[in-house]
Amino acid sequence: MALRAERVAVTGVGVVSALGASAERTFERLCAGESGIAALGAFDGTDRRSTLAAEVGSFDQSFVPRAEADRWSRSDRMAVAAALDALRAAGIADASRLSLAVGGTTGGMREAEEVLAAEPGCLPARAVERLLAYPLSTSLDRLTATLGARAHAATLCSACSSGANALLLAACWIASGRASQVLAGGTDALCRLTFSGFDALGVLSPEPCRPFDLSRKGLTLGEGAAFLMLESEASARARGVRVLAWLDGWSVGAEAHHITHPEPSGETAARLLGRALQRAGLAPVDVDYVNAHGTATVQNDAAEARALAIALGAELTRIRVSSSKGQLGHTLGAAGALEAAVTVLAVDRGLAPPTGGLVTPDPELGLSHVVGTAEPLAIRAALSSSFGFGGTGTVLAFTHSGRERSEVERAARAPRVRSVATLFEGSLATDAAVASAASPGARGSWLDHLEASRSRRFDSASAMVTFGASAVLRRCEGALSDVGLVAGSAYGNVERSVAFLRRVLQRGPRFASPADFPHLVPSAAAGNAGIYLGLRGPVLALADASTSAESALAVALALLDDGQAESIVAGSAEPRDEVVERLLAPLKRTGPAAGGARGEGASFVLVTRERSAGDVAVTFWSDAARSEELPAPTAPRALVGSPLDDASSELLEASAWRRVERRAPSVARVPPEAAGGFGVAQAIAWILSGEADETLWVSRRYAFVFSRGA
Amino acid sequence: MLRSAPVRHPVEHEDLKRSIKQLIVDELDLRDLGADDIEDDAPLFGGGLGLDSLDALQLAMAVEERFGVRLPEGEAARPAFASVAALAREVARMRPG
Repeated sequence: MALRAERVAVTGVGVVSALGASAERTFERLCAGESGIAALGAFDGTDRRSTLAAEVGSFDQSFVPRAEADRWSRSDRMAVAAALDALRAAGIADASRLSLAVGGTTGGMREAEEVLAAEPGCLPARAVERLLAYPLSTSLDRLTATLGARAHAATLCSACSSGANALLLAACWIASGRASQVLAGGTDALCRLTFSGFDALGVLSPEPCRPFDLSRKGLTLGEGAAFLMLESEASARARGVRVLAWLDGWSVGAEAHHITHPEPSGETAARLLGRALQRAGLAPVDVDYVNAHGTATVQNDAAEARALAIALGAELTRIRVSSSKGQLGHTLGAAGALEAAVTVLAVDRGLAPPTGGLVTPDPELGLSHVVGTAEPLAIRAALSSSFGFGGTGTVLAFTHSGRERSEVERAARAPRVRSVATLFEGSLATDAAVASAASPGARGSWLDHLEASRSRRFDSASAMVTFGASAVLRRCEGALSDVGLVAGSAYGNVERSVAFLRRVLQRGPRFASPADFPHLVPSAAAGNAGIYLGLRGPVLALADASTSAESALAVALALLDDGQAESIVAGSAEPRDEVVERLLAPLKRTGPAAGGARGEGASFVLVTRERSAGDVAVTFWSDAARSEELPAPTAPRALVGSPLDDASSELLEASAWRRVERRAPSVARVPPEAAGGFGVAQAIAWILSGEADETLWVSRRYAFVFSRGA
Repeated sequence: MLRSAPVRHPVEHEDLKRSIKQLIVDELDLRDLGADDIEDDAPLFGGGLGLDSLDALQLAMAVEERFGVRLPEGEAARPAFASVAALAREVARMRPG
């Protein structure tokens, strides 16, 4: 059976960038050839290879409640300002039914880094407030609170393609009919950690960056936020709002090549370009403009040009290609969204923006550039591509509002669970054995299970994700090239970020560790595991506090449903982290004070589109569950798993599952952030072990129904 | 003109090579290797150790920190990083005193 895929309209864009505090102002100045790159102002630039950045100037922040001023990070503020700009442009007054998808890499790092690097006992002022804004998921929380939005929501990270993947996830939600209005984008504030890290890698240009130029010497960092208002065609028509462009095609996949180096052949990027075109029903002959990732590093621009040549063939000589990073800088987690916003306005206005800093095009690249100022160009279709550390790339295809599209169908098969695994204190449990309480195993590091030469610098989370994913992938029959990985984590690698920052702040920027830096991005564990295992489907990280595992599974199911992979490993890994213990313990309900040091835990679920004997069907899932939506239990032997907190109990009491036996998962000593993932895995394992034929896992806003042989 | 390397005691030079090897093992997280497994004249990069340019950056930073020297960057650094012996010669040349 196949269902019609909803078409995705862009009805508004919002931007906060170095070129202005609105999408209109940013695009106008971008087209005029102005640059937002200037001397670094946010912090001391002494003893660094570059002292340039594209920093955001003043912007309206009147939406920040006075009482919370200390708790809003710069990333949060830019995100809400850009979101409000997008809503104004789209003419949306009531945002209460919106869904939200946010991409980023640094979260509140800029505010938290001095606190994190401080020695115990000499915490700087407002330490607790600054730490509260630290987790990646706070920007989503601020958006939810400010806008009153309460539908689907996800915070994701895939390094420098994060913003593009937030848009891609939103498109998946809309195409499947799961959501009709999604505000999606990315935000990232400049901070010492990223500046020092890129500086240590030697990729910062000493002069303003020059994408595609013969003399390009590296990138210039920037900061900003951008959001796009995405709606189903039906929603846009019903509101009678003007469509700026259609988001008709998208694709995400991983190179499985290297944590920082792009695949020189450009093959994966070419495959993603091709798939985005195919999804949109486009051929190279239909494309008039490409907004490239174009970081201005020697390697990136060369690999990207090769990818464009493979994917677009002879048409590439006609197609205008530009990079916005010469004027807006590389805004990391925001870049994919910011450049998508630029692409949408380019399509809508019929203006191809220039590549700032480009003087002498590198003839080896064979691209057709826009130099100086924007060029009037009737754009029928445009591509925007993003790539990042860990190798996850994303391509979005936008088409002109006047373009018709033939109907796109999507498969309507219930996804299946092939295998589950939990990791706790040195012991691995798989499939039916997951149903038993987690018990500590042999002492030793998870790294002992991995090849030493291929797991250099892996932290505990990377090792857990790699080992746990390989355990569930033993049951995978297809090629790993079609497998993705979505790994959640509440805080990311705090311990190693702290060690990195201490070196920078105490010893000086020259002693920032280049090799450690790419392992600090929140998606490092997923990226490391994906490269180790050779996974070439979507490889992403998710952050949603104590329901990060549930968020990872919900996002994996959305990507699977959309056909972005044949199989995806979803889960979460929460390592033992002394810094998290020490700094965040006073803020949490559980911690060392509440029953001894906690352990470390991880859980994984392999979901796939293919049926197989003895597997489990996912018959319902939602990240914004309402009681009335939950399908009634159909099997006589059913069980409910839930942490039994107030929100979950309320949801259950008003549902058809209120009389079904409820069990709290066996999660003694499992870190609270990982408990939900163990709960999901156990709810599946109750079926695999024969205890039940149908199970429901409910926690906070997430609900999943699993069924034997449906 | 190029300054010739100061003549140092051979034992001291052996110690320097030994500490560089240990630094390589520790800083580049070569868990399946001991310092003794690295040959003085074997190529550090593009050879059997499986090291890449990211490792070169890390090693340069670590050597600068450990020995208080400032090494050349980019292409100019290539000869110094050819082998442990070459790196030891460069460090000895640059080291104050």
